[in-house]
Amino acid sequence: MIKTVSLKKIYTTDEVETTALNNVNLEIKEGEFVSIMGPSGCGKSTLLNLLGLLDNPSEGEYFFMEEQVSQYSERKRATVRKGSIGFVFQSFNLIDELTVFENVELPLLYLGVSGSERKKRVEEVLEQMQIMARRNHFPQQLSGGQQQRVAVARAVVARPKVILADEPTGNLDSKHGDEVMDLLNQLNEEGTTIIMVTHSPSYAERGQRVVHLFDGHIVTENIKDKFHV
Amino acid sequence: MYRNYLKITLRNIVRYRGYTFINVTGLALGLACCILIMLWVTDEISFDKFHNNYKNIYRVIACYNDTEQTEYEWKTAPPLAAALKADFPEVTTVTRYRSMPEHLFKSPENISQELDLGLADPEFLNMFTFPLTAGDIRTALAEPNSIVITEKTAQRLFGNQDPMGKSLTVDNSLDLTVTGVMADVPANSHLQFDCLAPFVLVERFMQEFGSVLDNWGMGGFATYVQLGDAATGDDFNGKLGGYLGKYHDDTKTELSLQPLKDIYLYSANIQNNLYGNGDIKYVYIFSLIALFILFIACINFMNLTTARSANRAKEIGLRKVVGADRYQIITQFFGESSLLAFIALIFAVLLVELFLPTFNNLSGKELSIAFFENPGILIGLSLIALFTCLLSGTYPALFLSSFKPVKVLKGSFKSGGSGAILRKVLVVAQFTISILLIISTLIVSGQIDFMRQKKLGFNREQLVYMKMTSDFPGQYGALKTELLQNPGIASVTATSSLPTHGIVFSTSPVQWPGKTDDQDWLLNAVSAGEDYIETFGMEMLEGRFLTGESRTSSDTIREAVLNETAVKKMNLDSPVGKSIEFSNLKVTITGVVKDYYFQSLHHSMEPLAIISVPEWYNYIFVRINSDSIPQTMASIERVWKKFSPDTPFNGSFLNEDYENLYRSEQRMRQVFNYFTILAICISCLGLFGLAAYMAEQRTREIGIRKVLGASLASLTFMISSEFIKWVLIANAIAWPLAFLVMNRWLESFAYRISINWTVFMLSGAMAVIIALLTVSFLAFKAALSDPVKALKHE
Repeated sequence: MIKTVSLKKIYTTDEVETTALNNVNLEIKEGEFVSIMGPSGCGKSTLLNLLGLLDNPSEGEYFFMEEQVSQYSERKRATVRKGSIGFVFQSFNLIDELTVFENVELPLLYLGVSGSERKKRVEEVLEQMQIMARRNHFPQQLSGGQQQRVAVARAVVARPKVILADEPTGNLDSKHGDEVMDLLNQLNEEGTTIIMVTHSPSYAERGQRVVHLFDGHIVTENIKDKFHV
Repeated sequence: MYRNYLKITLRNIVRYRGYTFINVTGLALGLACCILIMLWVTDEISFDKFHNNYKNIYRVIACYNDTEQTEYEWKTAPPLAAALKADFPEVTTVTRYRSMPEHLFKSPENISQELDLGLADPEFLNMFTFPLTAGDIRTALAEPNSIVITEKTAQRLFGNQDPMGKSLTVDNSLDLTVTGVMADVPANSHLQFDCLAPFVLVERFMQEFGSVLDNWGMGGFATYVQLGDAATGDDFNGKLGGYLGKYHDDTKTELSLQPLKDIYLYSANIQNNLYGNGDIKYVYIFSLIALFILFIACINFMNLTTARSANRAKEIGLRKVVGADRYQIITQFFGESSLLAFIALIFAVLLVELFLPTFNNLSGKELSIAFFENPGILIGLSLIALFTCLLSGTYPALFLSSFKPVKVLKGSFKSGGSGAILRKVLVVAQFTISILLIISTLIVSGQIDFMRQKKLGFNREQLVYMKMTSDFPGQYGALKTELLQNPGIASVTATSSLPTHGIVFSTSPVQWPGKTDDQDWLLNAVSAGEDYIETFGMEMLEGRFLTGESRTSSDTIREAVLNETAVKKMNLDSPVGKSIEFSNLKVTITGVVKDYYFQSLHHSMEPLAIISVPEWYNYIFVRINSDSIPQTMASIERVWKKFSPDTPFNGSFLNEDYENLYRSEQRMRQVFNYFTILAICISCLGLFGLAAYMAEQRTREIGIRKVLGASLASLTFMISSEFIKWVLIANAIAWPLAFLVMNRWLESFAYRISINWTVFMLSGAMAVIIALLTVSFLAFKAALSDPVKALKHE
């Protein structure tokens, strides 16, 4: 489903050139749960952004669902992205001016889903995330754990093939962190591919595979038992 | 989708009320100015276009080629109209017109009114569209004793009775019969009159000139021609070269046609215009000001929207992550700008409704914002709104939609970069325009004060004048004697014209000893009685003033006094005792008067001859002593009533007329003042918003500086100086621009001030102080903030 060949990303600011990723070769099968670990600044988030089609690589090839997408224009990337990829961020990134319902509804709006269908699907996913009662609240009125559940709801509402999670538990205490991880595992069991960046070894263990990055390179890949411990 | 956009827009509007207020207020003020000026401009350019044939109607202009300058006049000779019609097949209709202001009309019921009479050929009603509500346009002016009155005049003289067939007495001597009633003359007509009588009556009104209608040497009559559809004014002008020579020997005067639609706005260079004119220059200036102000308001909008982009960055990033493409983001933010612009437009229309009476007062117009009656206004409003949306919405939409989700979602986004530079450029542009307006205002005011205070060569204070009706001249001597018995009255004289109204007679070329062929110009003539010099406080340079005001027109020997300019132009060495000849009159020069200004200072000093023709007297001038003015005025009125019980007393002070003389400049000054203040307010509003935002953005930097020991004063200075720098740059741009523009404007005055550098310094200082007042409060507040909070906040 996802395959990168010699992926490279260089950032240039004024006179400084930073190589964020170098020669990254990675293959992820449909239905996998892959954790990415590594110290700060090793390129984890950069890799996630490339995989999520938020950015283009400087060199190398990227196949998403068998399609070479590495040099797609912004417009084309947006088309591939919507409906196929869901995102969960460390800082939740909910829109403050929209209610829980409206935040979750947003991807469906851009997919052109009809109003009644939207209502049905959003309510379904809010029920699943157990935040239906908060549907008319604004993000500021929710706890961190609740906010992240809304963010997960938003990521899955369009039924994407892949969910990219960038330190989804980073801003949460352990109780809320566990809740979010349970949700991700549950989605994975239902067939969604999950790629998650994390600092927490125990949460990383919840994936089937852990990829270690260091200074922009993949250093080790631990392939684990398909069923978690 | 659009509901989602609308929802988020409305929530943002409410959440950031302060910024919304600044944005909408600025834009509404700018739009309101723009709408007011649009209404004014629309009215100015609508003049004389209500005539059905306006595209084919022209006024004949006479062009006098002097050795020094070329002068244009609308005044032509009476036989010209018939000659043009006979000589050129493309001329379908001709009419002559002469304005006879302030004549006394009396109805059979003895109701008296002073009315402005127009004398016109019968074809006048055919050519122009002044519809009759009673009578027949083909015959209304056919009989020499007929008169057509406007509905308002009919109401004033006859009340609710039918005026048709009734008789009216003009100046107690001429009886006319009402043969038509016409709709009131629209305000946007350059021809203004209360009633129309046949042109042939001109010989009754100007008896002293003898035969007028066939006299090629007479001037003072407007000639209008209507050309056939196939002919154009330009082609016709080509045929007019040397035409006048056919009828009038030795003339160098050339004729040309001026389109009817141009008369009101394009006659600045034509002498002695019939009525107060517009000027295309002011139409351009005001349109430019409108654009400037709207531009300033749009700049605010752009600046505040982009400056606050950080608040929306996360939203934009997220929308892109979940699948929005750039086009959709552009649509969203363009829609948001449009909504705000629309709200501003509603407020602007309310503001216009509120301030229209004041603006009408200022501009001397009767404008109204009747959308539904006038689709043009609705179209204009829509265009202004569209323009505002495009100007203020495009850049923010493009700017915001360009955000990269990778960057903004990381939380490291700062609204700096290229946007910040553009914002500075825009603030500089705003202040450049404001400073430009301040300088212009100061110079316009200076020029107007200069004209009002300029020494005119006579003392205009405490001069009262009254208009005489035609039965007065015979009684003038007795009236004068009676008036002088009042100790409050210093002296009394009579004259043919007011100094403020230009000169009544511009006689045909003059003959004098030693005249060469290349000297062909106009001599202004004024008739004045004894004591003219004393009453006006003028100065004789040589010889004596005229005597013998009791003389009648049958006398063949007349005397004249010339002004300095006339003597100079004629190259006369010792003028006193020499004879000159003009308008078939031979006169002897008895003296030379020091130049005095008898026209508006727009015109340079012109040659003038003062002669004594009692029949030409139109006004009595009375110099009164400064004490007990009300009693003296009452006594003048009593004497007046004694001599002419039927004529309403119309005494007024010459000084007040002078105030009116520069009315168009005065109006311009006032409008300029108000719009300048507005432009500055809008600019400051924007500056305040921007400063507030920047102070907020710099809390961390301020915190660090404070921790490192920066003082309150140094921090306040640091933040303020940033803005002051922009204002100084704006000064550097505005000064040369203002100099060029105002120099051009001043060139339209024959007598003008020179531009003083202090004006620039003053404007610059004003702009800096205003900007400083705006931002220093915010800077001080930011500098006072708690550094611990500021640093923790990161």
